[in-house]
Amino acid sequence: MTDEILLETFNLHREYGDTVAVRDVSLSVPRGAVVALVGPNGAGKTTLLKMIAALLEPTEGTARVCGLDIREYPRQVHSKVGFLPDFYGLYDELKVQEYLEYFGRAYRLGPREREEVIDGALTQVDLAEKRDILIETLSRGMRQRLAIARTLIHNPPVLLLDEPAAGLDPEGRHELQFLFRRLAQAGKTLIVSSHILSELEDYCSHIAILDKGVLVASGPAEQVRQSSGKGRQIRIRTAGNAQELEAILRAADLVQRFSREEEGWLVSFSGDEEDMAILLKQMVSGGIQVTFFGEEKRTIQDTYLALLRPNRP
Amino acid sequence: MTSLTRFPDLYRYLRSEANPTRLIAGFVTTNLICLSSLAAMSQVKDPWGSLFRTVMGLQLILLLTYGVLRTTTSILQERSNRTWDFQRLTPLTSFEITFGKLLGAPIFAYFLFLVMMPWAVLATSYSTRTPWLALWQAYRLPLSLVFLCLNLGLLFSAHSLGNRQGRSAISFVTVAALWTGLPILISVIFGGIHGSNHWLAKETLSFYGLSVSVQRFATLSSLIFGGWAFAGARWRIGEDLLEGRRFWRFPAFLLFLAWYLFGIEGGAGLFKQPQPRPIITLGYVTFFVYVAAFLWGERTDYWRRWLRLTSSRMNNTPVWVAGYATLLAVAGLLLLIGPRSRVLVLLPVFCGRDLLFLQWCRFTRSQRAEMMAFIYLVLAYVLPPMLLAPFKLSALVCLYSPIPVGGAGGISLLQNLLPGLLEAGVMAGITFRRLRQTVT
Repeated sequence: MTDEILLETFNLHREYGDTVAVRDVSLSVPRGAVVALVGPNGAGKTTLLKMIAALLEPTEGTARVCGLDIREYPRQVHSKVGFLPDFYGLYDELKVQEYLEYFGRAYRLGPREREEVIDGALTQVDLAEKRDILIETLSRGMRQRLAIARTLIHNPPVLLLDEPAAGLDPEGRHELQFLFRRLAQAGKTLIVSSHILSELEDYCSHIAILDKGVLVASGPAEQVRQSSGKGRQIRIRTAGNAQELEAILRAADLVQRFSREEEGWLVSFSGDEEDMAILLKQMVSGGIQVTFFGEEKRTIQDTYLALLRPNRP
Repeated sequence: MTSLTRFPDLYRYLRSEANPTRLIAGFVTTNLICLSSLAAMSQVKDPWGSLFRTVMGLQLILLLTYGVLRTTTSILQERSNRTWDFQRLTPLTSFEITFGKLLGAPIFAYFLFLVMMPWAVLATSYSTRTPWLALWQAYRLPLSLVFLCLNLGLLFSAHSLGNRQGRSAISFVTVAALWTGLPILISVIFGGIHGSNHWLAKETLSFYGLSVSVQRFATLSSLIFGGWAFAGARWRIGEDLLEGRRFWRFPAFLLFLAWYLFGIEGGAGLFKQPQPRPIITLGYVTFFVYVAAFLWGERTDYWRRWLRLTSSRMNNTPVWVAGYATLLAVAGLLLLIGPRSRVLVLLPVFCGRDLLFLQWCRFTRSQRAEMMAFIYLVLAYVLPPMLLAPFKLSALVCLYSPIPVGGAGGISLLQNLLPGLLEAGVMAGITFRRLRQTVT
């Protein structure tokens, strides 16, 4: 990942009648980043992606993709992005190879180049053995991979993927994760919108959170996680002594809040590592049999919930 | 670059529609039908002429039904199957997509047409001494009508991209127009092999002083308006590809239409001009302004974006505004050229009222604004005469719609014009107030 900004939006705004779908969104995405675009249903994720892909005209504002303004050069922007919508169709009457051949011709690739590109795309999405199969016979996961292969045909630097894991079984989602990692390693810049936040955890470098059309937070993943809540999250497991532990935690000044969960106690702590050590010492001195004490990294889900529902304990 | 590369849709349709099994089955079936027809007609008086009419009839019905259905559903299907966005993302231009669909979507119909051609050639070879001339004379008008219908289907399909409500409102008119054209086509088909002796070829009309056979005129007109339909489909698709609008397109079509209709000075027999040319000219121009206003669903967000534009505002003028401005210009020109008629003044006023009402409906929160406006307008023109006639108050219809004829004891121009102007003014005030609210 570099510092070069490949994609930038400037107060992107889109209205449908009286409804504001996206409200003055400004964000920057550096080259090589994998951005997790998260938000509840109706947050404006699809509208935002479509505007960036120059499929939808913004009501106000603009964006630049690889230096091209989406308002002034929408057709040129299309050559820089590969867009996978959340709901899409394929030409079921064609075979896998024929489908990619069609798009290869549409992207004006020469015969030899087409052959190489199609072979490469099919290999990348693990569909090389299915090239002579009719699309209508493919499983949901294979259709998804074929649709992703289509986005790679013209070798775009930016991929915009709207809910790519929706409707896939766990194995399909797992395969997709590997594919996204491979694409990121190959130098592509990805923006992936998803509800399955835990799966984005492993490969995203940036997070953007939308709520009711407003960009609530965006930036490098660690930065966004830190900004979502003050202090650290400590996981504590004990062998009994629940009441005594609760009393210690209530008395501790640097404990902001705590809750008892299935995996143990989760404590929001505003101190540093030395303060953590003091707390542990207090617990042990108080007769608590501590079986586990460690800092827990905030997940995207924690960040998402903390920012969208700040009053949730 | 080959056509298969330039028009990838050809490749796609060849692969899906023209696979070997289908081609062989079509080839065999078609030839069997033609052979059976020849056998069945061997006992009639003119077997080869009858065969020719049968083959030509089959060819044209195939193109007009299956072929037109294919172009009409070409983009509709892309949109309903959610494959349209993928096409929009490719570098394909609107011309490449439109022409690709015109060539590719009915490709199986074209194939069957060509399979039957040898039978048509065979029939003409046995029937006349100048078979190629006979073929040319027999096919030119029907094929030009097919070209027009295929492109109308494409135009209809292209407008599925935008305003679905407007499309619903207009669709039954389109279907009605196509079915009305079928009897004309059937009579053309039965002109058959003796095209030069066909009654259409014998009738003439005058176009800007030039005397021309109706057959030739109809052929040229079909080709020209087929071209306009293709251009219209292409421009509509181009809008969806964000290729940019041009304000002059629809006005250019209206001006051409006005020029074309005004030039038909009438002829003899069936084609003697029954009505004054200015009224017919303005009537058709007004009709197409209504059609365009319904098809292009420029709602609140479009107007908001348009009014906030700092550049290209003229090119993005709402289509009905550009069309209405052209209508006013044509009416003004026809008034100058003459012969003058009160219709030339009344029609633009009442049309303006209706278009403002349609736009006001679009500024409301109604999900079916065009359907609502369509129903209200139809009722507004149809109900008052029906309700007022039993009470001998038909004269009050002048309050709602233009009365084309006045005369002694009838409604004067001013009596008809003033209510129209008042209503148009009120509608303009309501609509612009609504517009100001939505924009701010």
